[in-house]
Amino acid sequence: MSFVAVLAWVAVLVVAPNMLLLFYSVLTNRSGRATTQLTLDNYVSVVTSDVTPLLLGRTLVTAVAAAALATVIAYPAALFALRNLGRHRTLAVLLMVVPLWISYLVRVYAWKIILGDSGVINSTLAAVGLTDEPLSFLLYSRFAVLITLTYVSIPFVFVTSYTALERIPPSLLEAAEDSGASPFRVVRHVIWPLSRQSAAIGFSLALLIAVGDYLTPSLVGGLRGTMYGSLVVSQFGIANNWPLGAALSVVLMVVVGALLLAVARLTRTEGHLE
Amino acid sequence: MSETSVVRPVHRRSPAAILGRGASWAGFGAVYLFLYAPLVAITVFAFNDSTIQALPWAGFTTRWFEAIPKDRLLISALVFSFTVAIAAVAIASLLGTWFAFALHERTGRVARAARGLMVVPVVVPGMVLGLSLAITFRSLGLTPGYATVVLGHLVFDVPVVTLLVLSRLQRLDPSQAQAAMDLGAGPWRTRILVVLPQVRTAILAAALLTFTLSFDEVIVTFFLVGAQQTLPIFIWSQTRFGFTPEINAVVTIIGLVSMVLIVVATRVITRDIEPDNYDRPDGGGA
Repeated sequence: MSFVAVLAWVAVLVVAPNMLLLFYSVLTNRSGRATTQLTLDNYVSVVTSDVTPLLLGRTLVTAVAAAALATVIAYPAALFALRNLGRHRTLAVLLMVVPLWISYLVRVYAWKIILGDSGVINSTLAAVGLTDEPLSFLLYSRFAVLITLTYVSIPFVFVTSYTALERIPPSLLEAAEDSGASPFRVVRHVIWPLSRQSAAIGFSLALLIAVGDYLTPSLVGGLRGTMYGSLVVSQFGIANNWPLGAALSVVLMVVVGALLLAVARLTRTEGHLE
Repeated sequence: MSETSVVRPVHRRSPAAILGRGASWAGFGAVYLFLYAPLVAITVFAFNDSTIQALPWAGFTTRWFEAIPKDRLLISALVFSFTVAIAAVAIASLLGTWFAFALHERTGRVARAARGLMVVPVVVPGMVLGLSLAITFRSLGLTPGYATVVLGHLVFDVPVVTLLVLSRLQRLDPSQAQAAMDLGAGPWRTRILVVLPQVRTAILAAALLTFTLSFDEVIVTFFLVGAQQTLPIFIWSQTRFGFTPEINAVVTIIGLVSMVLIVVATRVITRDIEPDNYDRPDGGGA
């Protein structure tokens, strides 16, 4: 009986919504209502549009860059915390996740306060006398989107990396060091191969957050920072074209799914610790 | 930990190495600086005596905090968010735990597929999930409002609870449950009286996590709300005009309260684990 409940849950709230999304993506939109006239026009217009492929490309590049940047920052930080902080390292992990308890929207909005023309950075630069005019590329730009998405991703990569690094037996590292491996080689040949799968999970989480986020681009991205998510949302809202929105969603899922599969393939490690 | 082994290569103490160590500490500190800069900015500007959140500093005020109780839209959004999150956590804890037991006791391809599919909503990009749920609820004839928001949150809350509880169940020593069964307890008595107490910290941790997930959710909720806004949706609607520091004040208060709650909860959870030693810390592996 319990297992039937699980199956019912999955059928009604996971399988059905995705099937309906697929179904909606081949419906015809007539002034805001989806009519059951099957068509592939939605997909045709996604592919042939001037804007959509461009936005998809830009979104993927920005998301991959943010996830990569977050990994490059958070993975070494996790390694450093584990090896240098002794018994304070759980505090380091706790401090890493505390920001996640603060409203996501407000954390993103805070970057407006920091990066704006009369924001913290520009005011400081002007006060010190380094700049005469505010650096306007800081806010309402792809740079701002990149920084903010990196910022929100770091804790996720940190935690996934940390849990993997923590499970590597110290004896392996000592064996490598005693055999004369330099610290760099220990990381390169022992630590990284044993933890890259988890780092990749963190990277993938970051990528998913970045791809699915329409709040950050519209808050700090300005016109030049518009991303794919805003397009989907506008089909639900202003444009009121759910079938096109569904087609856009399906395209995004397929592309992101392929990307994540590639990441998983590239970072696979043969053999396990257990 | 590495200090315990016998011979250390000499190059570790060279000037370059010391410089490198200094640089690593600085870099490590910079990560936390980056992480906390926005939080500091929010808090500081909650006390700034200006509607524009920019420098120069306009003077200290507490008027943004005083304005909160008078803002009826804000208060109703806050209350609505609480009722959504509480309902979602209560239902998700029950259902998620029940599902975890079901999946734990069932093996095979169907069970594995069900578990995999259940997690899909957690990893799907938010607006895709939002749109697919909006379509589903519209097809079912549900009007957007409290029920659709709670149900929408459950779609990602339940699998989170299930996964956390399931991973704890899988690390449990089965002998206690077996002993209970041998002594004549039925399957449900065993589950509730013997197994459930052993996973209660996992349920508590999951409840905390799902509360924050639900309380803070914007992207999916946007597709499901009716006229009554949740707090994040309210904040989102305010950002179009550049919201007032009142929002900073609210977020500062919520942040402080949740930090206290986290500390208390961590205490409770760790105290709960230590004396009985329910979990084998190694997970049984060598």
